Amino acid sequence: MQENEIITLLIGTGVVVFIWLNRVAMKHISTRNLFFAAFATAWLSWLFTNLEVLFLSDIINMLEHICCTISSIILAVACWKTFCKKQGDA
Amino acid sequence: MILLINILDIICFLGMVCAIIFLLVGWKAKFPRDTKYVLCLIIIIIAFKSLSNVYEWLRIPSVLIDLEGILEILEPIMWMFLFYSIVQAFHWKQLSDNEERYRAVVEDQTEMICRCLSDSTITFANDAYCRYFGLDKDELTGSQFMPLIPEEDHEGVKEYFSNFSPENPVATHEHRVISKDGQLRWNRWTNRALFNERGDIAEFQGVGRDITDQKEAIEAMEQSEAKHRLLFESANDAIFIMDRDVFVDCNPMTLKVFDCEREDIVGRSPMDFSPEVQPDGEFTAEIARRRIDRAYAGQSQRFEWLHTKKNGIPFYAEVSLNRLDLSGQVFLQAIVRNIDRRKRNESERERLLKTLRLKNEELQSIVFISSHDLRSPLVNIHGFSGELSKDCKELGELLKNEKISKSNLARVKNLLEENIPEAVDFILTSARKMDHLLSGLIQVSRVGAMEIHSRYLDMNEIVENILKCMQYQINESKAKITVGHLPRCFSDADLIIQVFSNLIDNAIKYRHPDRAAEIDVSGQIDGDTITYIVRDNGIGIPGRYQKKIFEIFHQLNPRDDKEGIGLGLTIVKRILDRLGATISIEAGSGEGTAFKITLPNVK
Repeated sequence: MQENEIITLLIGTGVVVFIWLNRVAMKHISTRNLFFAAFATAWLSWLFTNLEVLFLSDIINMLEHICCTISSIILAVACWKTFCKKQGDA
Repeated sequence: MILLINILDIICFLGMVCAIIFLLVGWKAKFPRDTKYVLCLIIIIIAFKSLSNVYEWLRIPSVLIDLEGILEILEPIMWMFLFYSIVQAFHWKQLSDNEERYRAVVEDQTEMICRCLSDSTITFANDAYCRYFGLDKDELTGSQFMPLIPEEDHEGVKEYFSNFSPENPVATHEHRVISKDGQLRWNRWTNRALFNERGDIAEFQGVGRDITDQKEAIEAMEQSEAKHRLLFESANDAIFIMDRDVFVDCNPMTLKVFDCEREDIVGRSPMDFSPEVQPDGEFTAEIARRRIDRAYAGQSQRFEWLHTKKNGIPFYAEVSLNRLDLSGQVFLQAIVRNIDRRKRNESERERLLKTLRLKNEELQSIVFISSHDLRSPLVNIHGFSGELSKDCKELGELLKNEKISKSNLARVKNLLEENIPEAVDFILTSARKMDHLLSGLIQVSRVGAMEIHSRYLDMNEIVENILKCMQYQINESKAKITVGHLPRCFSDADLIIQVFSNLIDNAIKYRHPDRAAEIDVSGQIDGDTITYIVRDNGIGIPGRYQKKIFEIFHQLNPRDDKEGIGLGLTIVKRILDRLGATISIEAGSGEGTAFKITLPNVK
């Protein structure tokens, strides 16, 4: 399972690079910052997953789950703001 | 700790449930469709992940627990797809916007746009093109444009299209087309040839516009310009265009008027073609500047001006200055008319009027004097005729009786020997005087009618001949005559002889009784005139008579024993008038007289 987590982190880091390179093209999505935030917290959770085997496994595991939860909440808010709150704002 | 983690997982799951609900509720929202699907997958993956964690904690066996590793790898991949789909959507939108914009540009153009193949088949035409020719887009696409052009213009259009090459891919051509109402109208088309990889023409893309109005306007403008140019070129007056006081253009007449070339005029100033001072005494530069300033201020100027030709010959001109606005720049238009001939004519008319006035006065004077002088002998004749008639009647009465008394006989004798001869003598004298006066008048009138044959005259020879002819009188009067060097003159010999004969004759006739007559004839050239002076030491002419002595029949002392009826000086004056000469007197009573004759010096 450890390999999966490293691959996940690497792919996630690749996504970060992709976002940075195409940041201008994403400006037409008004709720892009929420999506970025959701992705960022998800990426943190992947980072913590890899770090928990090295030190402070309990605390970092807790942080991983917190990040994961925050990510899902932000994503839910992003979906609400994008699709429900203001029709056609994207 | 584990409980807390599981609570967090449950919250995470619930969050994803909410997210999927929001997504489904707002599925119709304007958002890229692919992105929605990817987002949906991300939510499901996260939900399954959190659910597998809960199952794991509750130790419930589930396939999700086995799939957790795959789900973990899928999640960032799905995020990648999410952002990729957002970027793609952006690019598609941009492309779509651009296409819409360009379509709008082409379709909303008021100018005609079309594409066609090299065989003139239309592959695209915009709305403006369709509207102009009154045809549908479908009708036009696939048809040929040549039928829209009148046959006479086909050759020109074909030649135009044959001149395109990779080196000259763009060209413009003007030709006529048949518009939707069947009228011939002018079009200007700018075409670009599009070449394939082999360098052959694949298609033409053209932008055209109707230039009929423009053509008509240009044609009208050209006609107007030609008309005005013709007016400018064929004007009988010199016309200048001036920028301040510098000539910038002129018409051909200007070159004729100023007797110069165009290069001599353009770039020069009016002051270069004027004397420094005008006839009224004002400086040319000052008055010209004043006139130009006024004209620039919009006050039209019209005045007479003394110009000079290139060779310096002056001429009078009538100048008109007007402000001229040309393409936003202010110029002056100067019209110069040579009025030299008019001025000369005016001056000649003035001279003739003056002469006519003088002649009229002279004629009136002649008529008055003649009638006055003729009246005196006429009255004598009338009076003595009456006397004679009365005497004859009385004589008749006396001779009626056969027998005449002594007293009657004495009376008859008195009548026959005294009264009648005396009356007849007075009548004859008066008749002679009238004859003299009338002969004089004829002489005077002949002077006016004589033809003038001018030539260069040797004046010394003429005076010498006159003196020879008058030798008897000169000898009788013992007059001493000296003749200086007399310059030659250009005049009529007979008339000049008459003038000098009269003057010398008068000098002898009116010599002083107490001294020997001395007559001096001299002459000199004074520039444009020649002056001759006949000076004597005779009785002189008192100042008050000096003007009157040239009047007809005027004599200083009519009752003295000098011959003549007072015509000599009148004839002299009239002859000199005819010759364009003048005569004046320098004289005083008892100190002699000097007649000064001034003739033009003809070179």
